[in-house]
Amino acid sequence: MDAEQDYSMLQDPEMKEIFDSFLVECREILEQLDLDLVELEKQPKNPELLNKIFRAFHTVKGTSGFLGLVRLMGLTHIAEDLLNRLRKGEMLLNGYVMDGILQAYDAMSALVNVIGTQFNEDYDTSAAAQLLEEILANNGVLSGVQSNAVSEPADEIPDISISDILPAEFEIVAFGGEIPLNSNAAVIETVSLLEEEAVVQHIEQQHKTAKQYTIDSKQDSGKGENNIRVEVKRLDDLLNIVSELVLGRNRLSQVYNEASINYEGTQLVRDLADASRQIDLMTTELQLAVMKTRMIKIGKVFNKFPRVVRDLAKETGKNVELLIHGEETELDKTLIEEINDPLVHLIRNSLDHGIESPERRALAGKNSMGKVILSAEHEGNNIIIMVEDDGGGIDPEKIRDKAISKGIITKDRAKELSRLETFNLLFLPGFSTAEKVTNISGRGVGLDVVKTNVAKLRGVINIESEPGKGTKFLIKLPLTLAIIQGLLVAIEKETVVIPLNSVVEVVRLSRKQIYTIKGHEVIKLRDEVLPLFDVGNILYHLNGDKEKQQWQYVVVVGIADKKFGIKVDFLIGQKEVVIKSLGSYLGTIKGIAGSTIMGDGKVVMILDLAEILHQLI
Amino acid sequence: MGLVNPQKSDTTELIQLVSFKVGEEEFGVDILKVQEINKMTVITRVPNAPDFVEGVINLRGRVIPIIDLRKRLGLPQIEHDKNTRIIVVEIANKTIGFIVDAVSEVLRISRDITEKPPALVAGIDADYITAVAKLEDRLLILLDLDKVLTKDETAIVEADN
Repeated sequence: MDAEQDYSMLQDPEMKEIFDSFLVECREILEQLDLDLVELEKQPKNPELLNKIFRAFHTVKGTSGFLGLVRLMGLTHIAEDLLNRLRKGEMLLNGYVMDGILQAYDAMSALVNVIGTQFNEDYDTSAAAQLLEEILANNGVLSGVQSNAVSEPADEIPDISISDILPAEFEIVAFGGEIPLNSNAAVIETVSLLEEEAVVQHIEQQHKTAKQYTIDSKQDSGKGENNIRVEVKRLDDLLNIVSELVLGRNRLSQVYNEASINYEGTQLVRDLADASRQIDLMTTELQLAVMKTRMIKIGKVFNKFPRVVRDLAKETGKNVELLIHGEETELDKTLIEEINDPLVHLIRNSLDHGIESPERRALAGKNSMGKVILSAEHEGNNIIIMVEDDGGGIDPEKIRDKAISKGIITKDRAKELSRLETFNLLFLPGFSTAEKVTNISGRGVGLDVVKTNVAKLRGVINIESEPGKGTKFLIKLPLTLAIIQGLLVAIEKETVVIPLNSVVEVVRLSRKQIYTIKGHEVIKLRDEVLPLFDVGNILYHLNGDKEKQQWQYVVVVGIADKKFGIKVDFLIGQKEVVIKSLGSYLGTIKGIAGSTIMGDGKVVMILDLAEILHQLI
Repeated sequence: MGLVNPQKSDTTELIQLVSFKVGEEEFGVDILKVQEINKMTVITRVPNAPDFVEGVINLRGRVIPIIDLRKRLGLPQIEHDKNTRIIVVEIANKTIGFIVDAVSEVLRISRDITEKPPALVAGIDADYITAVAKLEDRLLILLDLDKVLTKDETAIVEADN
């Protein structure tokens, strides 16, 4: 049927708007459906939930029919039939039925993706459709095999509350308006179906009071007016302009500083000071406001995980419960996009290696239901994301043995490692403690990729683990990637920015306080001995005669759990800097996080100390 | 070979060039590639960048890389003076600045007076050279800046990453 199906409508410029909003709507529905389906498995008899899911399929069916997407319509139509039986209590929801619905969901989201990218329905959904047909034919009972029912048959037709019916009612009105535009036979079929339902629902609705109706319709209309959809590109442009404004502000304050020296005490300087202060304040406010428009709730990412956990638990035969906290926590859009993969990896890791099998948990005297906690919270200008499990934990001894046997560290070195350092070995490339390689994780390419990804976002990842009790991964990310606090320092004639988040402290030492161990310079700071690096020499190959200087400024930086001293010649100050990339021609350069433009128009480099020091050790 | 057997193109189309000097040679690039010509400004060095990258400059809020054409063409380094210019060009959607000794003029020449380059000109790999234009009193080497940054540079940039 595909060969004859005409999809040219999808690329018709006149239909673009309708098609685009169809895609957005579908994706939103799918996102919500994902959550609802996992929830449904837990509450198989919840009538509101069943109605909601039914409506989701129903909405997609209606619109896809209108757009001539026969496959999508066919699939959603069967799914809708099935859900209709479920919500009427004619069929009971068991594992067999649930699997069918989930498979239909997967096929549907894959199909929507294909529609969105290729403008056709070039995705085979027949397997999922067939399964659904089968379930319908068997009325939800897996023939031959005793199905493991997750619910009892519903005794009565579930109550339908007004709030459940209302949106569906609105929908019908909406489609009714669109129908004359299209003569497609498929749509006509939908229409008759819709009308049938409209009648049924209309009767049901008459039982409800008028009062409820007004309250609900009010809420519904309010929702639409408070939000608008904006293209991300526009927000990006806005952010760019604000970044330029921040540079302009910096320039202004520099001019003010110069003027205040040359024309001290004059009215002009006082006015300039006022103006400069006001601009300063407004710029900061504006910057914050623009940043906020780009903030997205992390729930968008977190909400994908109930399904991931469900599938993995099934695959591995473990009982796992996923708890999510802090899904309201907001962070920058770019971060949201990038943090998904690392989190998927950590969650998989927790399920595969962390949580033990129910038998082993029982032996260890634990609840057979394993727990994975995914949480997010703000901490100053950072966001902390945690993936925690109450599984077997990691034995530091085992990590050390493994690292030695893999030749990653020597025996002597292993003895010196602190607990945290030992856990950090897990992030080294090619390290995997899983005894058996599974297709979920344990391929030895894992945590190092997670670490690299997190580091790209200027984040830090740490592990805490207690053998027998569980493991906790802690990811610390900045709220935004565009602007950072930096420490401006001079190394001979070069000025560079050191990101302030890695600076622990700044000290001035007498040259006599710099010692040498095996040719490497070290400093003794309180009780710690820290290696000292001459970044000027390493990066710029400067070899100034520093021996004459009596004092040496040292910036102490913390990278992961280690501290280092960096030699600098002058401290210029702390500054909020806007990160500019070096452009696509240069791309990323080792040891350089980017550049920024100073108030005087000069470009200075922002150092990526983690990378620089990584090369040295 | 080109000089013995000039291969004249069959059009009389005019091409507009920006001509500049690097060392003893005078070069020309297609004016449409040139975005602007700037005086020498402060260049910030980029550590760990490829050798021929002199650094970056601030071009009205944008950070763009600067390449020293002398270094690129294998000529000895000289001090930058008041004649030194940065030619900002747009190549494959990338904005890049080239340092040249001096910019001479904008000129319009007929394709007829251009010839395929001889195998070697001033020690420069002929790959960069699209043609040689014979002006009344001098020769002009037409450079293809796209090629100035060809594979080997891309390879260096990538290897460095």
